[in-house]
Amino acid sequence: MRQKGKKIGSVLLAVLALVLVMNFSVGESMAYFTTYATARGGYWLTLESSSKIRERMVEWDKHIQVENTGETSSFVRVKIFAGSAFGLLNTDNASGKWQMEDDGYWYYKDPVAPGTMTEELVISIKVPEEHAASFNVTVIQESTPVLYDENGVAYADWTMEADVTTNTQDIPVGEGGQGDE
Amino acid sequence: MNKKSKFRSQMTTGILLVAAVLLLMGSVAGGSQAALTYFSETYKARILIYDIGVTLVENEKDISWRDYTGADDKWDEHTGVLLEYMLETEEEREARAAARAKDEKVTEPELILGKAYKEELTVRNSGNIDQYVRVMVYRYWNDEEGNKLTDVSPSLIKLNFLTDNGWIIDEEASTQERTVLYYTKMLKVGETAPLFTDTISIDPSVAKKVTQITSVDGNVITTTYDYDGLEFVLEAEVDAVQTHNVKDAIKSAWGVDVKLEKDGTLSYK
Repeated sequence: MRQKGKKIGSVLLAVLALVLVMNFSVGESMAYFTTYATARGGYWLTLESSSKIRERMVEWDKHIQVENTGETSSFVRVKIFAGSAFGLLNTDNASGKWQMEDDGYWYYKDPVAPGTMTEELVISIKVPEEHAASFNVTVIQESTPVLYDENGVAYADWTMEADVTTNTQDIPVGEGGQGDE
Repeated sequence: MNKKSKFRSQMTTGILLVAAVLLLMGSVAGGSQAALTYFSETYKARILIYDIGVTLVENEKDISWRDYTGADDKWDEHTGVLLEYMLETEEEREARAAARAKDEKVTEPELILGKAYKEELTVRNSGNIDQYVRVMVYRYWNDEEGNKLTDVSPSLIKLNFLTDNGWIIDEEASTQERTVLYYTKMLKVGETAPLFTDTISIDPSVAKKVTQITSVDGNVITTTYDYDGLEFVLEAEVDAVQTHNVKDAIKSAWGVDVKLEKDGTLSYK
């Protein structure tokens, strides 16, 4: 009886071993050859766009330049306002880079790179005698980041203009100076 | 008693003899095992043929790969960086570094919105068995701390996918952030698949998303953009699987049902 029990035990063990071995081989055949490769990369986006107006008054001429103080290239435009009493403003656009459009803005043709300035736009002001002591001419300056179409051609989208800043100058006649703060 | 003791010593001798024989046999077995090891090396040399390997290629440069080396679960692996030379070439970067070292003024390269930058991505079979491949491309935005932002649109990171060349997009498995592509043809040993992307650009409308305008401070215009200071991220994962028993292999590895056509191309259900 005891002998018989031992025999059954051995048979059971053998079966167990066989099952284990078979299981193992089943596991083996289930494995397929696979592999993978991954990579990642990115860039920080800098969208800040800011600009400054630099102005000098020389005699009756207002010399306007716009400097790009931001970190990305931008397009700029300016508009000049003056009281109707001052009459005509003659503008001198010696560089040919500024262009007056129908909306009354002077557009600068080229993108302005960070840290650089536009060419000058010179406005000659005719001030009547009675206002000669003090006068007020306002320059509005706007900038917008340079955009590129799919072919890499630069363009400006003024419908997404950054902001409007007015620069009100109240300079005693004859005194020149830097217009920016 | 004496008889018993004699019997015992005889038995001990017998046991020792058996043990000696066993030991001897063991050593012989050891010897034959050594011989087997020797043979198994040739056998190993033969299974070298089944090394699977895949490489992610960007602008004709190997970026990341994982190739089996034929033994001991050892892989030749490398994980590289995508978009490293998106804004400047390697030469331009070196020139800038040299200028910086000399304290010269250096203009940093700018990311231009809307411009289509070259981003030619594909896959090469760098193993020595044929394979089928799929690709998962992820696009998303990170904030300054490197946390993934889920509320900014990945669709503003525009990748131009090419799909009339054997690649197909699995629309069902794809989301705004993830695009899953399969290469339906078999990728033979050493073969490079056609490109699955050719350009990347950042939609210019990112510059339209402005929360805060003002900051009117004297003559200075300052504007706050929603996407300013964010990092856009591109991630790609390539998966390769054996061609043998491909239906089951793909089902097991990727969980996808495929149909193998007569010409060796796969159609995904």
